[in-house]
Amino acid sequence: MHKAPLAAAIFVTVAFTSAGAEDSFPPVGNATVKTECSACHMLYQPQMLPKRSWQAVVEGLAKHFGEDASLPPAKTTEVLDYLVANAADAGRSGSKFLRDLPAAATPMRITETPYWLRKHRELRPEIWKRTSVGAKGNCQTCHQGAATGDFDEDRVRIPK
Amino acid sequence: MRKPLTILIALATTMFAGATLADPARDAILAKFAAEAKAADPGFTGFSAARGGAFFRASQTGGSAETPSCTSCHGAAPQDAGKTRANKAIAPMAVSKTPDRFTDSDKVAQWFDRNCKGVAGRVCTPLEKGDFITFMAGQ
Ligand code: HEC
Ligand code: HEC
Ligand code: HEC
Repeated sequence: MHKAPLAAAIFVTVAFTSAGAEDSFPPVGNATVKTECSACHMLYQPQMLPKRSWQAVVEGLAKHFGEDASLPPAKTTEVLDYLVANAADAGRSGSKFLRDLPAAATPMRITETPYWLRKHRELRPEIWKRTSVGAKGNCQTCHQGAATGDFDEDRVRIPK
Repeated sequence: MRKPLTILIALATTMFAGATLADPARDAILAKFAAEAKAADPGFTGFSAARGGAFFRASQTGGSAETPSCTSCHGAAPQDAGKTRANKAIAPMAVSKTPDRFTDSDKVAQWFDRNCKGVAGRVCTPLEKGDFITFMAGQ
């Protein structure tokens, strides 16, 4: 029961650390990224993949997980610049999504990073098959505050 | 060159004003498709909501096997929300439910391009695009 004030204190700290720092997932601040990268799924925070991954994701937008998500050249450059500038390895300390990630690996999914896999290892496989969850990438179904960068484990609710 | 286009825009605007929810930006998009449709086929006489509805529901080949129809993502009823392959809700396409539909020409162009390729494996014709918007504007 002493958890709440502590969590609040942690949250405040997290909210005020600068971009790229550990634990910090500030809201996406680029309008083009916001519009173009949230049409089909939630808007993923750039701090969850390294620069090389964003490079690969943006280069492959014409064949993006089986869909055409390509953009005109000017928007492509703007999106890539923003994602790279705020990537997991862009800050001084690096995001926790870099943990155990081999330097040679270029994950195309956040849900393929060792850190994400470790954090979700205890979830039974059956949970991912629920239509209420839909896909591992539907972070917001369990992390209601995902859009604002809140992934705190104390506020997770798995839908039935 | 100028005059026929102006007349066409005027024509298109009056043609659609009655049956559909009017919006200047949407009317301009429709007028542009009307001009393109006329250029492709001089016999073009106007868009048809009925044809647009049939196109919306048609099962097509040539695109992705997972999405053979516009309804694969947008749902069978234009008034209802649809769902992407990644399970995110898509606001209804019916203009009565989502009033700002088809009012941003870049957005319209971008999604027709992507979705026609995903469903039919090709770009949509100006006639198909105009019919589709005319249908949704009346829904
Ligand atoms: C046309 C639809 C569409 C658009 C637009 C789109 N995506 Fe995706 N994205 C998908 C689909 C489909 C998946 C795969 C979902 C699945 O299989 O779980 C996906 C998955 C992803 C993933 C992996 C999620 C995971 O499982 O960890 C990332 C990262 C991603 N998208 C980034 C982006 C970025 C960045 C943009 C903007 C440039 C973007 N997407 C725009 C359709 C889209
Ligand atoms: C099916 C529900 C579910 C989905 C979907 C889901 N998570 Fe989680 N997530 C959890 C649970 C439960 C935990 C807590 C695990 C624990 O207690 O260690 C967690 C923990 C986390 C943590 C660690 C939080 C902390 O305080 O240490 C992060 C970060 C995270 N998730 C990110 C994501 C991201 C990013 C996505 C989408 C790509 C996602 N999750 C999708 C259920 C989910
Ligand atoms: C793979 C899923 C998918 C399929 C299949 C699909 N769409 Fe879409 N469509 C979307 C998404 C996602 C959006 C963008 C989200 C939004 O506008 O709410 C969209 C938006 C649009 C828009 C832009 C609407 C606006 O507000 O301007 C048009 C036009 C459109 N679709 C036409 C079509 C047509 C025509 C077909 C069938 C040939 C089709 N779509 C099939 C997913 C799909």
